[in-house]
Amino acid sequence: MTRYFKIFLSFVITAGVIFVLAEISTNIYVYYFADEDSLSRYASITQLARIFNKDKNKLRITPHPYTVYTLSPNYEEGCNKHNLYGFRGKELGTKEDGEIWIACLGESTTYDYDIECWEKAYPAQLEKYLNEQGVKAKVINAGVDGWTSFEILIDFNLRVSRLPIDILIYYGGFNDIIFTRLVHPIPKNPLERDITCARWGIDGMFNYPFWETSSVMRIILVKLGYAIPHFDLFSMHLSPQNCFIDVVVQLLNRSYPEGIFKDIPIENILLNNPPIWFEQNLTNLVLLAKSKSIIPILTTYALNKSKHNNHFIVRDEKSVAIINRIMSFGIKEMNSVIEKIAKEQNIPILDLDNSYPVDGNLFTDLIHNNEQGAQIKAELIAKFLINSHIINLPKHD
Amino acid sequence: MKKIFRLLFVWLIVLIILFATLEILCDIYILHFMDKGTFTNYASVEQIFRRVNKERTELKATLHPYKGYFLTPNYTDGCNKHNSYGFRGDELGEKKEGEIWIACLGESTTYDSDIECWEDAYPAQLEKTLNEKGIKAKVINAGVDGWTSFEILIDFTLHVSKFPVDIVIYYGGLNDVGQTRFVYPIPDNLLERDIVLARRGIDGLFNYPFWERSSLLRIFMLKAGLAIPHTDLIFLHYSPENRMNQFIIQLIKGTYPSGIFKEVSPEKILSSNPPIWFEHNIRNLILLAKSKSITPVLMTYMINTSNKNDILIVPTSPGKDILKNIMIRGINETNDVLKKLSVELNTALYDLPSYFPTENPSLFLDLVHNTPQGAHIKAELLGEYLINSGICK
Repeated sequence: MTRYFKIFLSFVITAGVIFVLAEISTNIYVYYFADEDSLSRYASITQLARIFNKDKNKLRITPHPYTVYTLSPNYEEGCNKHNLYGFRGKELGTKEDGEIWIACLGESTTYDYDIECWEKAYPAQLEKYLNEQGVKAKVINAGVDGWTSFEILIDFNLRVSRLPIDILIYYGGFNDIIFTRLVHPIPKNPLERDITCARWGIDGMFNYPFWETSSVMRIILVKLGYAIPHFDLFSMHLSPQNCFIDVVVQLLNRSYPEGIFKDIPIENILLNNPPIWFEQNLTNLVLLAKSKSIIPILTTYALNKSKHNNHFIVRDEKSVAIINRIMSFGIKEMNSVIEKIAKEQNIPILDLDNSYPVDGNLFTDLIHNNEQGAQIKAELIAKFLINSHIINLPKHD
Repeated sequence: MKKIFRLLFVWLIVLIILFATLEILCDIYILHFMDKGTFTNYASVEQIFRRVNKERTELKATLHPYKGYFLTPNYTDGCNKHNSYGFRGDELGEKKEGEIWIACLGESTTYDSDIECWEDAYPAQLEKTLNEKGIKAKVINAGVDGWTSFEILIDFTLHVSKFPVDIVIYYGGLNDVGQTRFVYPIPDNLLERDIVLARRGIDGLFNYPFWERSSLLRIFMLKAGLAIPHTDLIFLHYSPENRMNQFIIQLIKGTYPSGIFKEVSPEKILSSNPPIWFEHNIRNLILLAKSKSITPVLMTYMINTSNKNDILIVPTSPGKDILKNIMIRGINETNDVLKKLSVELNTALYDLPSYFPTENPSLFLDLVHNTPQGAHIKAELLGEYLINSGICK
């Protein structure tokens, strides 16, 4: 008996020592040697915070006190770069006489996340096209992936509006659906519907099981698909009532609909939580822009309506069809709000949703363009700006 | 030799087990049994998040994705309470016909954090004063301690402007001086001066030495005055270039000027970082209010000018006076910005320090916070101004 106890004890001690050593080595690897991709996949939320603390601009995005995160200024990777103000693209310089400054506000579809080089993103192509037409224009890419109308409005309020902007173009709405509208249950009184129903503060980033504190356990669980990377907790900081992650996990596991979705279809969740925040934010954005003599231009959101490259996160046919159905439903509502605000505030609107070609070859997925797609988007916007006389072409002799 | 080694090893193991057990017990006590006050003093950043996660209405403030933190809705503590929208005071109910809704935006001097009962805070007293004068008014106390013009602007944009508000009163500036201007060095290019130079996001909360991860060590160091509570890290989330904490610590310990302050004076730091963020934020607040047909009213900030009850964080001289003089200098600058914006944007301004008996120490609890009597006078003066200037008819 004593012999068995000794064997058991030495086994436990050995296992403990191995675990502690593995934990220490993994932490050292994550903290000092992991590349950007591995960091975003395997680092814990506290490790991420400490890494940001040590080198604020180590990753493409960096924490921010009021928008949770923003683009890292002076970041460079291959042919991608951010300028010193943290906008995707080259340095802005000072505004020249007669120059028009345009700020493109939006999400990953403005940053053009799937396009490797900054020069091929739609705002840079818009600048190029306008310059080719003889218009002295500078276009700022103020799009940030994952941002909703909340971060976009705050960023415009605190930062973008400090620049000498003449025109702002808003293109977005998709992230508002997935991050702010898939909330159940939600208070009946609209005034009690604070954004904290959908997203939490930093506390929302610590909403993970305690065993994920161990780097070894966390890496294994993330690799097996049983845990989501803490980087996503940081960027999404969803409330427990936000069921976006549940939808995605169920679709990935092909178990949808189960749990909450057996009781209530996603469309009903969207219907119960109409885009009141989106409407308020966009209205405030338009009002603030106007009060600062900036011309606001709204564009409706264009989904990839073809049957090609139309996936989003999930790839199997059935799940793609479900996501497409939900997102088409949601985007239709967001576009209605955009149209309503344009009418109410008497401001220009470009109906990209109906004017963008239905061609899967212009997309990399349901929403993101490839270079060619971004070029077409830039040209459509430029022609709209010129044809509606928001920008006048120089007169030739 | 072998015996000594074995004895040492056993001792080491016993010590580690003892430390680990105490650490676990300490964590359990902090997370599950500590009362609110002690918890906010001794809990680590992670422990605070986990407890807030578990019970979001337990503490006075709750974390917010865009404002750092906000007032916990439906919070009650004695004669203090927040309504379901997270404003200090009673439920708002529906807006009645002919009723004027006034939102008081600001910092702890609007929340009136040193006044125990919500009914004695200046916004509640303003409502009472106006009602007594026959004006059907509802006054919302939208002040939150520790907020700067950043949080106030964001809150107005996202939250307050959702309500049918007719008049918005802004009273603040002290937190902008204390929390956003003590930054050194700062880029020369004004457009490069982003708020991240003064305050950080989540990274700013984990800016503490690794030994403070141990609850035992942290509590010991806090009791010895060698560390700052992690709640302050959450509230302040300063960048390393923000020198306010160093300044305060040196003034309290009597070691001022040392470190960075040997190279550069606090006056120089303030003058190299003028209130450009404050000006931008208040300008946007005014513009947005006007575009939503809300009348903005600015109120200049007052300071207790008597030499009694005039402590601000640092309790004894000369530190107390050094801090007071710096804050007066900063407040004069932010007041100048308010006056400038009032002229530029043709906005009403009430110059409170010109009318308030700031030399009367019984109206103050410290350098800036009023007693219930002080809040009463502030409310009466403001009420008279709103009526006499025709803003409240």
